[in-house]
Amino acid sequence: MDTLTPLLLFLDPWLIAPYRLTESATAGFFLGTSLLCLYCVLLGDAAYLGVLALNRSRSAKFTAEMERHNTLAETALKMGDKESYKAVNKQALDAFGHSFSLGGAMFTASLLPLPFALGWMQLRFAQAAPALPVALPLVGREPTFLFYFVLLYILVRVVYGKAMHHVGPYRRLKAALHGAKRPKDHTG
Amino acid sequence: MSRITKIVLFAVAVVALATALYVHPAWADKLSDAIAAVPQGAEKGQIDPANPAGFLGIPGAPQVNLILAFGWAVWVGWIFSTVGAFGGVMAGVGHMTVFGLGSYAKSFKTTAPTLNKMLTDSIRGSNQFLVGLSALVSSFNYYRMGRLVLPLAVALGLGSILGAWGSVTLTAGKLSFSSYQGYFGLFVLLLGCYLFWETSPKGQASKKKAKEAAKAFEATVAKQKAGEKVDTSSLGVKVTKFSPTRCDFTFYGVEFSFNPLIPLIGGMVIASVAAFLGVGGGFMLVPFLTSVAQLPMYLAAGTSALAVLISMITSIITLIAKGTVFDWGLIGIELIGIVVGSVVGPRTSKYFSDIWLKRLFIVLSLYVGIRYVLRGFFGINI
Repeated sequence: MDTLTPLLLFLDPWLIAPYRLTESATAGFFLGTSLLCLYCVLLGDAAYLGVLALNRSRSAKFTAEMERHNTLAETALKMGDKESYKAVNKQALDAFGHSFSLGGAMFTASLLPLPFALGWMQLRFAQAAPALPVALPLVGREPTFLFYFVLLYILVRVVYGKAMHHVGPYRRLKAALHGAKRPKDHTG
Repeated sequence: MSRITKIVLFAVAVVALATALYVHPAWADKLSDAIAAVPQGAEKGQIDPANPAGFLGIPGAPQVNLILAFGWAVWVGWIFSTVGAFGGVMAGVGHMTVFGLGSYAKSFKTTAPTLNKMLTDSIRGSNQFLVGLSALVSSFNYYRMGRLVLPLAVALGLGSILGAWGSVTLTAGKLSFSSYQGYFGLFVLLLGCYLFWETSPKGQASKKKAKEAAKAFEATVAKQKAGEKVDTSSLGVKVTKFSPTRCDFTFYGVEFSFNPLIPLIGGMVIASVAAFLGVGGGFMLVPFLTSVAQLPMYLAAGTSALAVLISMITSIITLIAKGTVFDWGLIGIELIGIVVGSVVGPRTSKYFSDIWLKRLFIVLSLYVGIRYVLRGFFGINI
């Protein structure tokens, strides 16, 4: 943490400014933390798209393997060929394992800004998060800053996702980076 | 996906959260109280307040070499993107050995057992963050594609919640570092042995057989493809019967069935091991599900990803609520390392075959496993 403290202190004036925009300290805390969450979501998304671009061909290869073998497995099911189904399904599972792990590692990129944001909040708000009007069973009346950050981050990320879905160029870029076609959407 | 299914899925998520919120684990001492209780001084197992702050801000604690932390995380990311599993295990190894945190936690075993246990919990919590949210990617994809078998997901999810909550509640604040290290070592040894079998001629033969059978079938299908009509009337998942001991469903018109008690208990065991050790159970769940119900890959993958997600959320919430402190600087550097590793890994895969990567992993895991078991359970240093 010590090595990062100078960096966090350098960023401190910009990060703390929104917290001081309102008269009310609590309103300022929520405004500032929401903005901090937005920075994290934006930077995280940019990082994720960058990593996705760099790993595009490998990710597409695993996805294609997975989908190809899954389609074959479904065909085997339709033909009632249980042995072929098991063999093909195994290949699909192998490809899934690789795809899932790579996807997880790449998804980590979208979370990159979080530890730094939380490290800064630890410096500023370790003992100073607002109290709740009522006590909640697990966190009591005085939760840590982590409680507020996590809830606001999820909210901001969901709203950001829904909003960006309507931005044509962004949607097309993401589709292009994801590459392989997705399987049909079967509802059950 | 039908409205009812969406509502039920949402209810499962609420139940997971409610379980974490409404069931009180015993409140552990906060870190500052634990530090204050440590005898002051310059000897091993003591804290000198005049020392510069190290891990978790504890005076005199190891100042984790960030370059080492970064390098190790690059290795973890490389494993994730090439071998396709076990990255979380390597992360755990890093926290305990490479960064010297294990030895530090151990030094308080007799002088300050509370601090020893809090440090153990912090190491477990740090592991969870690194692998925790990767299940979200698959969960939402498969939820959107309608490939979740709801009763299976619910049984697995409930089992995972109970397993993760029970494991963390019963052990957070109570697990000495030595015990944790011993169990972790045992787990790593088992992994090494499994991989050893997989890369042996017998293991390779069974894989080769499956691959050849798949290729042969693919060739057959390609010949038959022209003029084939696809029957779309029975696509997707349809649950036909449900009772506490039997669930029947169809996928592509083919019947599958399973006993819901099996994924419930299996989920509990796998999630409790995963939460206890602090590493994700995804790679244990998928083989379990395919053997329970011979599930097609997408069904197994979607339902296991959901269970891993619930398990991770539950154990992180529980650890946070107990006042466990995370070292954000260390986590930040590690996340960067994982991302770099995941980009470098695919580019090196043309120079290293899958088998050699796994063999390297086996050597490392046998060394680490044996060393941890001897140190953790028997106090023998090799």
